[in-house]
Amino acid sequence: MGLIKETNAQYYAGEQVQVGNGTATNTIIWPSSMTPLIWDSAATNITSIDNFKVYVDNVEQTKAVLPANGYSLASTTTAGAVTQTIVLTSAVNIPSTSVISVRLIQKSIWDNYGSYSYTSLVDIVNNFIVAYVGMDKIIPRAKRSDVVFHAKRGLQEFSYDTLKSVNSQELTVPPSLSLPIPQDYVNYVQLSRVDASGVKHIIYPTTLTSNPTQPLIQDASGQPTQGSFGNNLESLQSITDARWAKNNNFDITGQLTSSQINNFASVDNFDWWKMAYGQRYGLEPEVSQKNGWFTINEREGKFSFSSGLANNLIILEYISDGLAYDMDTKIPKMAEEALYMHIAYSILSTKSNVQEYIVQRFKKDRRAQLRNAKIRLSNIKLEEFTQVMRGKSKWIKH
Amino acid sequence: MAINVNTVYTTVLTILNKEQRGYLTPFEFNNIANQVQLEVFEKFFEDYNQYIRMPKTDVEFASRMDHIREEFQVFEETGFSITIPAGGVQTSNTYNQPSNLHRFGTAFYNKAPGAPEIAIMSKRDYKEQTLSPLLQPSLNFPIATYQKDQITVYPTLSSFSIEDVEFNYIRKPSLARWGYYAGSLGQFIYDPTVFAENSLNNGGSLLSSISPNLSATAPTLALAEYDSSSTGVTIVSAGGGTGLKIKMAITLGSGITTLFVSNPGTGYSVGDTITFASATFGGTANAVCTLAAGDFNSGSTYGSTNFEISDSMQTEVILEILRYTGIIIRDPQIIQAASQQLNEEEANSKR
Repeated sequence: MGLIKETNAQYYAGEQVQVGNGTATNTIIWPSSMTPLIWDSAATNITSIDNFKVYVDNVEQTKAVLPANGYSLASTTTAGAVTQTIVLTSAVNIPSTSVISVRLIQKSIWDNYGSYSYTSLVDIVNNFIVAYVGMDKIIPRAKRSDVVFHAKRGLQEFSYDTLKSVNSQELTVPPSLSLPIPQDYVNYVQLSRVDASGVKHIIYPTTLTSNPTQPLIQDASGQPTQGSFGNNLESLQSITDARWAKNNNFDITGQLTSSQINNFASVDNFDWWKMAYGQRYGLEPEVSQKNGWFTINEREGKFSFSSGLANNLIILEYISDGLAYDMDTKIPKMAEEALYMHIAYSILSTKSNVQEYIVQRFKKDRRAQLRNAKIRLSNIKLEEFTQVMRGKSKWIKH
Repeated sequence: MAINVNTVYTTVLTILNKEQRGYLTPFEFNNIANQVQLEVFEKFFEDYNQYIRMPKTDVEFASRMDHIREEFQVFEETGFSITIPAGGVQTSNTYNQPSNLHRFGTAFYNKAPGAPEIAIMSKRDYKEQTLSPLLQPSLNFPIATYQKDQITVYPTLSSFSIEDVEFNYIRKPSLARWGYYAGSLGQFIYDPTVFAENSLNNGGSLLSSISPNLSATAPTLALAEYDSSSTGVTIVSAGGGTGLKIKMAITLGSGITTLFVSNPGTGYSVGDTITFASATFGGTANAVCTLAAGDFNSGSTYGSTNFEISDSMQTEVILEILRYTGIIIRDPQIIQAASQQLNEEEANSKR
């Protein structure tokens, strides 16, 4: 039996269609092979939790709690089989010439596209228990919770350096020059400024400044002052941050303004800074760029940007640990074997009375499979590689 | 296939009666038979555990593991949790195990997609596990604590039903019983009818339950079969019993002289009545037979139950019974012979 359960139509359209039954109440059974429907039963309006809408002849229906007119979702699980039923009640009868469609919202359809390249954490755990745990196997007995733990830990570790689990947010830097760290953030990958052509320019972190975590308020003798509970008083705004925000980036980058060029970039100008003469001594390549900088303000839990980036469009790319949301717990099939080996090694290495040579064997297997997964997920294609090398003036024989 | 209880009893008696050593009454046999059946049954699991730790083979019919599994698969059952008292409503995430559960196997959570296995753990382990953010119970990975014959399943959902949890378990074997009734010479005659607590004794006489009988004026009537559709026969059953057939004969001057069950039917209970109308059968008043506890299998010696363990264990069962019988009749020779034979078999199977 194949692994794909959805029909082609269900996959591409993400909807279930049926004609009206001639009455005001119509029931639509949502195919269990499709993305499960989710809805916020407490809300009478569509919320961000809902992942579907109901249409009659392409007219969107209102969500309602029965018996009011509208649609509602009922999910029942019998012997492990989930049945989702949408009941649509209408003020008028829906004739058989009308088409009722239950449609996933666009984001859910997009999530479903390409989902075949992933496998779920549940499947990983179940497969592992079936194939690796049991009588006459290297792991004769393992608690399900142990397998789940190591699977999740493996997913976390892989998320940091192996999996393609980079999330990216498109944001505009506000005048306050700071943006909150994303909810599922673990570490950043890259921050970039997007120019008018849509091209990314990397924003680097800077060591020129930092964000103090305790901007203390001092008395005249320099002692930190305390509040009525004996705790140190802190300033809401760090002076360092304020100064950095007011800083003119050109003072650091050495970039010339048009007025400077017009007024001073003349060979006849003999002012002491001799701007147009020879080399511009003292420029630091590290800071001689116009894309700006960022720091991470741990006190406020925000990214802080340099002043030149105000109102700029940026892309924040970061990694999560793959466990923040249920839908995150998916593993690329290319790393599936690596995760099995990770679980096996983790269990064997923490189990008593396992010979060390077996532990070492699985350690090697884990390392080899992890390397394989990294290579696979690096997405190196020979033709693309060749093309890059052509740009490097390398002589490629093929 | 089960072991026929009559075969075992007659074999034991045959061996025992050699040289007039002694005799085992049905009552004694039934008690010993159950003790032996339980011993053999419990030994399955110990043997299974031992075989798991021994070298194994996959050759057909040679695998001890498969063999022992085959022995106790008869007792493996899958069933839902129950409410106490029966027929109640499940109102919480604490589910009672099936009443006939003897050895707990696994439990499955039917409320979750795919009905995953529930990880059973002690309260302490549960507490420790729930302190770990990575191991919180979820529909895909449900966990449960097991205390007082109940499992408490997590995560807790809002609605409950006894079908939420399905148990896979081993039940106890039914009690073996050599059913009998007394013959005309007082001898024990084997009753092969399958024992059922609420079943009427098949072939059992109902004469003692008649009160009043037909009067002496009722004319002689040859033995014939009657049921609820027969003229003059009314059967009243509180539990809606059906299918009862009786054979009855009347002797002039004595009323009903023969009355026994020819087909016990189902659904009858103590207090149900069979009335023979005087208008049909003669006499001055109706004869009424009120079913008493002694007319049913549960209150009599009628009805037999075979050993549930498979017939491949027949030799062992007979030898074990003989060993116990040796104790009853105080014959050390029988104890020794049976024990020796059993030890040889044991040694051979574990070699």
